Amino acid sequence: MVAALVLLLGGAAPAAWADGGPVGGDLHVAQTLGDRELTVVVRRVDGAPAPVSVDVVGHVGTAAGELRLRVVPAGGRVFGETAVRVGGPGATSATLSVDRFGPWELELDDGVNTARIPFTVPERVTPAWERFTYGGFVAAGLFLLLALGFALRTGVGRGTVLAVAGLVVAVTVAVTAALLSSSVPVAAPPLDGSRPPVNMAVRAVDARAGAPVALAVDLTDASTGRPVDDLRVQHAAFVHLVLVSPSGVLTHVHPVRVRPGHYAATFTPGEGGRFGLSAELSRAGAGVQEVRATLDVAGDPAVSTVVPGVGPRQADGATVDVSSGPLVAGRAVTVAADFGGPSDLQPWLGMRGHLIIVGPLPPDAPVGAAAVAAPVWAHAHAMVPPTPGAVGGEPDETVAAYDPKVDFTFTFPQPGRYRLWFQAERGYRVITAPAVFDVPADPGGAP
Amino acid sequence: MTRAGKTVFALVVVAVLAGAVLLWRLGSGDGPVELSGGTDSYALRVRFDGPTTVGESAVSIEVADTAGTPVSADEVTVEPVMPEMGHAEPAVPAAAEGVPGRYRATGARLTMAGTWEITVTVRSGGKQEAAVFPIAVRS
Amino acid sequence: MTAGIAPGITRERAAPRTATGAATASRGLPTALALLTGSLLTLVGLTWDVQWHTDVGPDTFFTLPHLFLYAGSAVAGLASLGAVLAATAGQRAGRDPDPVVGGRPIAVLRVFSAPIGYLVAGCGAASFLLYGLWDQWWHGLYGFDAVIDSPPHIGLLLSVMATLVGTVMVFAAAYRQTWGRVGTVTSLGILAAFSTIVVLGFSNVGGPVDAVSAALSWLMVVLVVTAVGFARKPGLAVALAVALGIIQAVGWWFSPWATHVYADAVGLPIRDYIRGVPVMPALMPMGLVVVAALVEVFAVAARRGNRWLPAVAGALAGGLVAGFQGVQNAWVYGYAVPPVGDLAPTVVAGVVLGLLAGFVGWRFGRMLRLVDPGKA
Repeated sequence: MVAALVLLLGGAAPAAWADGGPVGGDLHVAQTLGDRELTVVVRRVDGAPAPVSVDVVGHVGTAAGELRLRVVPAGGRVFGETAVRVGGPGATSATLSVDRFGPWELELDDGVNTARIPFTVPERVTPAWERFTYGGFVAAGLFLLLALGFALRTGVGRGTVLAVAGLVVAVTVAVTAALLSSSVPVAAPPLDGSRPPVNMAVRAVDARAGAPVALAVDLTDASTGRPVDDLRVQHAAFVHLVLVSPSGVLTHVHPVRVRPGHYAATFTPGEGGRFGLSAELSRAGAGVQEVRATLDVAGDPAVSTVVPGVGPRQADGATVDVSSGPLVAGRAVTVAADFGGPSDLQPWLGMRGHLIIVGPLPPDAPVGAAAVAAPVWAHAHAMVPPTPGAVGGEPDETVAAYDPKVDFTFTFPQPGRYRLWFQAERGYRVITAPAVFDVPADPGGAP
Repeated sequence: MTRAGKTVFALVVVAVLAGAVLLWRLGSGDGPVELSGGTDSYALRVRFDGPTTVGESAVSIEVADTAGTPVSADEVTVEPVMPEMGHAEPAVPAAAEGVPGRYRATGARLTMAGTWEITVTVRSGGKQEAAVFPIAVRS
Repeated sequence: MTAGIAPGITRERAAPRTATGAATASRGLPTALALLTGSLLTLVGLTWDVQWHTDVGPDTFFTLPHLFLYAGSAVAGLASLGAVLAATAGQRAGRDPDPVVGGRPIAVLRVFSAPIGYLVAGCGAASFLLYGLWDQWWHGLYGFDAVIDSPPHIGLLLSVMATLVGTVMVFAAAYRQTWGRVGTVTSLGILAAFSTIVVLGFSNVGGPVDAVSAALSWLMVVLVVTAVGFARKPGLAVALAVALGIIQAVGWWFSPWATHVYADAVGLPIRDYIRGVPVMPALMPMGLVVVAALVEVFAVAARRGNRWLPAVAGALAGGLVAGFQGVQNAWVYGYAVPPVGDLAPTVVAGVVLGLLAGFVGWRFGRMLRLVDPGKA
């Protein structure tokens, strides 16, 4: 009877699949909204109705102005709207609220462009053991009251003994369920999923050197032709679009999601000619993929000024010292960029530093067009070291505490001329330092 | 046990049983699959008859505006896609059911077990909008 | 009060009890210790839980801190039930209940009587466990909002307060024993520490008065004046404040440490925008020792029969606690100390509430003496 009571209270519900881990997390996503490069952080939402905290991080050169933030549930009207003032480097916070579980969109509107960032307010599933723990303690409360009542009424009688036994059983069940909960396996989503590749079409109307160009990036499924709307935030962006100019100038933008399968970014080309584009993205349930495209810009091409080899160079107002170990094709080498000054680099796109490598390139051909055909287009990362005290949390961009020297280990697969771009953030400014390396063949023979 | 004690005990047992039944009802989730979502202009409610299994499925769709008022569209179609395999099935037109905003599509083919995406496209006045509903299909 | 003892029960003292010895003196100790353990578990659980919600987040319902909270109440409930059963069994065997064990016996259902301290503690524990059901339902409705001031949370906290008050009564009943005195100081300290979180229920009260600080000053003054009203000699209130200070110091170290260790163990990230302040220990008034010493001075005169002195002492203490709380918050959270003009309304509220608290607390103290009316 006693055991049945506890079992009824605890085990009444069918075993729901346990989900003990964190549901969702903070969403860090870089957005090139119009001519502003912003990082939007949507903090984890716990339950509904609940507040949603949104941080918008601006960078050096972010134009001052007002952004309107809206949260819209799927199939519903705008639920909340607020305005944030951005302008210059640093974070601005806003608080909105959500009223239901399920898919939502956060709209960022600068008056001309609108970005729509999907986020989910997850509903919690109560695991079976939790019901047992809970039911056990509630039953314990009932039995305790009963036992006290019986004790005062009949002393140590049959009823009292029964109630005390119930109390002991209930507490035992509750504590056992709670203590065993950590060993209850959690149903994990299958990890061996896959998705077809994407096709990318990049369109720009009237692209000319020196003027802002609105890029429209359309992504379609390579198997079904349908718009692709299952992009995961990967290294803090839906799409990392890297553009390489004919003279070898690299620009890194993060197109905003306009509607399913359609992304947009603004970019100002410094010269004319054929640009090489590469998009890095990741579909839900699949790995990261890279797609390339070209963009033709009216105007005259510029000439590369990058001197091949290591040594100090000027980049975005900083002196960057590029160094490298012995360069040999097929052998891992560590290359480094020292941005100088104190340890105050900020994590950009969740990383201390980024290195983009394209090659081998023909010596005198324009870089943009050659890059599209290059056998190697790589993107290496320098990780953020774990923060003392914090446990696995991703520090946001406001943490300026990292070593100015960032190093990367990479194996150049083939001999030839490579272009490299080292990127890091300091003072809310992304510094891009270009380099050109000539990698000789391994004298001991090809691997 | 005294009479009063028995009464109290009986009351407690009844209350506990009632609570257990309530918990049971709240916790169960094995019936027709009903999903809601939407596009810029429409709120959509999609309901599958019974649990979705491999084979042909019938879908009831309710189309409303974002305020919840039923809307009659020119054309409503249902397109099943299995995203993992990159496999698209033929689009099935949904027939109007006489009541404004209510449509029903039969013969939507779900050819294997796994996660499927059902795209519901609403065409009206020369404009089309679509919403995607993920569902789990069992063998 | 003697009317509470049921008819038919002999009121003559059993022969062995009249020859009071060491065995009798420590008879109530094991049960009382079990109750105190339950109270301590609850306090540890709550301190940890508040820190967890601030630094990590309300990720799973059944976290280890929650288990401490619930287990604390379960232990306190079992201990209380044990004491009540021992008392009723003793009466059936023809022994008169010993007031040293858990306080003066009272009969609720008019057949047996049970020690009042354990009855209060046991009912508090039962009510806590039952409130858990409402809390679960509430979370199901509104999500894991993790606000301390939701109705079921306040119900849970008040239930714990009842258990803690029962604990104080149990030890106060044995105040003539050394373990009774130590236990009274400890349980009063726990009660004071716990009441800091209950006042967060007033966080949403607007206006010029900081309602949380005002409510805190009321509860602190009630406890301090109750202590001096209960004690026949000076020192108990200062001892209470020292106990609170020790709990604060230990909690300051423990709650962030335990939170980080546990987050590490279950693999959850610490939020990256935390202030690193131990939340609940930071609420405890740091200057209570000074305030308590001041009240002790007044109490010396009050014990000689001055009826309005406790209220005056309470008013002074209330104003001091309420005012200093604003300064303490500024210091702990690193913002500028608010100007005197901003603090003034809260201080005035503290004085008014303290006046009332002094008046009531003195009488609470005298009532607490009644749990053990056996000796003068």
